[in-house]
Amino acid sequence: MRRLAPERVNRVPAGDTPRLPFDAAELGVWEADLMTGEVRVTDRFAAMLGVPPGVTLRHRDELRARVHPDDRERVRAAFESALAGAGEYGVEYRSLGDDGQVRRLASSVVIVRDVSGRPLRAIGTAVDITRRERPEEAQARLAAIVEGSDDAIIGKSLDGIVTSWNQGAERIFGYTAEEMVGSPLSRLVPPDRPDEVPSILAAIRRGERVEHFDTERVRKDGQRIQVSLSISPIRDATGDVIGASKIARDVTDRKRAEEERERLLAEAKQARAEAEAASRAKDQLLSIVSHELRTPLASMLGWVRVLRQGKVSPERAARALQSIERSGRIQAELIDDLLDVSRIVTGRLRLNLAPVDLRAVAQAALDAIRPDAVGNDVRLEASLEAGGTVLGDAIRLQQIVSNLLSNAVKFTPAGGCVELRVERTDREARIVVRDTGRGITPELLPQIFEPFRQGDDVKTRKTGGLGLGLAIVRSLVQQHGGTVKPESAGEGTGSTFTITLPLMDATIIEPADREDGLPALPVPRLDGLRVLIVDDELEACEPLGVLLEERGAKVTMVASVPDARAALDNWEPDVLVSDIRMPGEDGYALVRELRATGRLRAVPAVAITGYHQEGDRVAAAGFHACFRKPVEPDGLVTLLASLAGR
Amino acid sequence: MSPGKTILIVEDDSDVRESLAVFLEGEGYSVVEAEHGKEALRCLRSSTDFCLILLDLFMPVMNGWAFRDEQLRDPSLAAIPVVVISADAGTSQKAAALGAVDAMVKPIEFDRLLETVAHHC
Repeated sequence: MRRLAPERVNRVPAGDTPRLPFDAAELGVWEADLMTGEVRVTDRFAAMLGVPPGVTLRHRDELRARVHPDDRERVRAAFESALAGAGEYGVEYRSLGDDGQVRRLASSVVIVRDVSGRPLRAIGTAVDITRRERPEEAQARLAAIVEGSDDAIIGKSLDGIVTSWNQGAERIFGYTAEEMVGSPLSRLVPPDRPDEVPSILAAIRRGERVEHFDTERVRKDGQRIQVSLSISPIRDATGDVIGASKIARDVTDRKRAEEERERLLAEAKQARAEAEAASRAKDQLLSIVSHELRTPLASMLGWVRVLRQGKVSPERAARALQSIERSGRIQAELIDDLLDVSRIVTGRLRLNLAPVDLRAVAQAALDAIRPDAVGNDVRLEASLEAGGTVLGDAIRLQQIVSNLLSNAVKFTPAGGCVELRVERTDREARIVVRDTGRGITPELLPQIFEPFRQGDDVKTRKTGGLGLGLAIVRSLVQQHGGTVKPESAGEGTGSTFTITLPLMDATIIEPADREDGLPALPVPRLDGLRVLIVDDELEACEPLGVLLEERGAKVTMVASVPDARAALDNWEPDVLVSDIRMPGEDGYALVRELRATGRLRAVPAVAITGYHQEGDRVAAAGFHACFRKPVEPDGLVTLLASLAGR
Repeated sequence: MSPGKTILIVEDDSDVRESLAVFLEGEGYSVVEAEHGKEALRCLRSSTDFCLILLDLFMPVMNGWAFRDEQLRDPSLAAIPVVVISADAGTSQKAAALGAVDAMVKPIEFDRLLETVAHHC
């Protein structure tokens, strides 16, 4: 049998073979003689069956053999049924080619009969649909995309009932499809938030899309998440909206990142503003310092020049020398104050501790200020008899009183009065400096201890100085384990400064002569004094414990704040000595807790630290004093005795 | 060149003010001292003899800036030249802003002061 070229099929006489309404190039055609089983096929059809060029198909069995074995029965059944009935059929089947390739073919077959109805021939056409997607495949592919999406893809009806729910939705919202399909979508809206679902559904009913709508939803586990929603109407074949498809993306992380970025930006802005403010403050500070140092210099050099002129009277010359001396002294004091503040800021100010009689200190300060008071026509009143002994640095204690007196005289107008009193209670000594001067405004009161803080506008201020006096006073008082309290009822009502220091009325014993030949300090006994030492480096603390016990103290040592807490549960020390930096909770936390929780509120506490601490922080946490490592033992013993009121 | 022969020193620090005054008197000038701007205006309005004002900036009652405002507002005083003397580090700029003829940072260089004074008085 010949193989037909496609064009020749069309030349099959009309009436024998139906005309074929397809593009011949796309179409394979075959014809079978049902009586003999002979077949004729076009080259195109042969190719569809995977028959190599040059091989000629002659019999129906050769066609059948190239139908995929799995589809053979189906094709045969379709043929039989057409033969028995309608006389034509359509079938999709796979061919299995000689080249091993599987092709998918869509075939239509017509049975041609003679006048008596006997089947004569079958004429078939086939189209290769291997590359065409079957509808169920397309659907499966779309379903796979929907299922595989990271986003939640949800179908819902127009009354907000969930109709489909993909794995993305399950992952984002925590509910399974089983739980959600058939439920209202409003389940996901946080209870404290207006339900946007009805207004979204209204937009969908109008046929509108809602895109990138950012809102909040609640997961099954109650966690709130930020989502971005895109919702589109679903229409039926007639174009009516019958539901909505919704894509929800979890943007919680993105929102968080945005917030974090904004927070960082704000922080950076703040840091820059602070740096700029600090830089301005530094410029201003330098300017003040320079101004204050230059002014006495101007006076000194001016008078020197006057003296060198050699034209002044002896009285004028004496006045010049007096002025030079005063200016020199003022400048020296300014420099001392600056150095003190520098030491305080860097934590390098050290006290030479010894028992100090406050009466002597107060008297010395009073004597020093008298010329200024007389010069300003300010009356001085003093009552010092009640003074006590404190453990302190005599020079620094005098500096404290002098600074307060000097301020009082400076800010008290002519005819006013400055009063200095030294008092005592059971455990405390008190130094009170009261004046009838201009007072302190309530706004300024909280700031007066800040270095370089002055009440006046710098351009018109009457009094000079750097504004360091009170800053120094506060630090020195704190280093002595005391407090300073300013009071003023406001401008024009005068001011009162009250300093309290722990009294030291201990039994003083003379220690054995020391090898270094330095004059020995009297060191008190600590008999029966219960001391709790908290330090994570217990070994390093051991010598301190031994030393305190030699002095008669009963020492308990623990290595952490929790241990300290446990020890304090059923035992109460007279004095607490605590390291500041410890792993976990630090010394600040311990003392703050004690101060806050009543029972041990009043137990004196001493901080020990290897770092430069700011006195403020130690004091603010509730410590009475701060010792730097290595601890000077006699100093600590004396301080403990003083703190315990011995 | 102003017609007068007297120098007005406006300075709140009495030591600085007095040493300047005594020095300039020693050099043969007539000097009047004022403790602040307000007092300076009083002095200026009670005499027409001033050739120069040495003006401090930071002063109580009326500071250098306020004084200069008042001086320039008064046509009879506005022409008297002002030399700013201040311990402030930015004295030159501040003086320029005030329209002063010269600026000197404390401690003052006295030879330069004498030159300036000789130029104006």
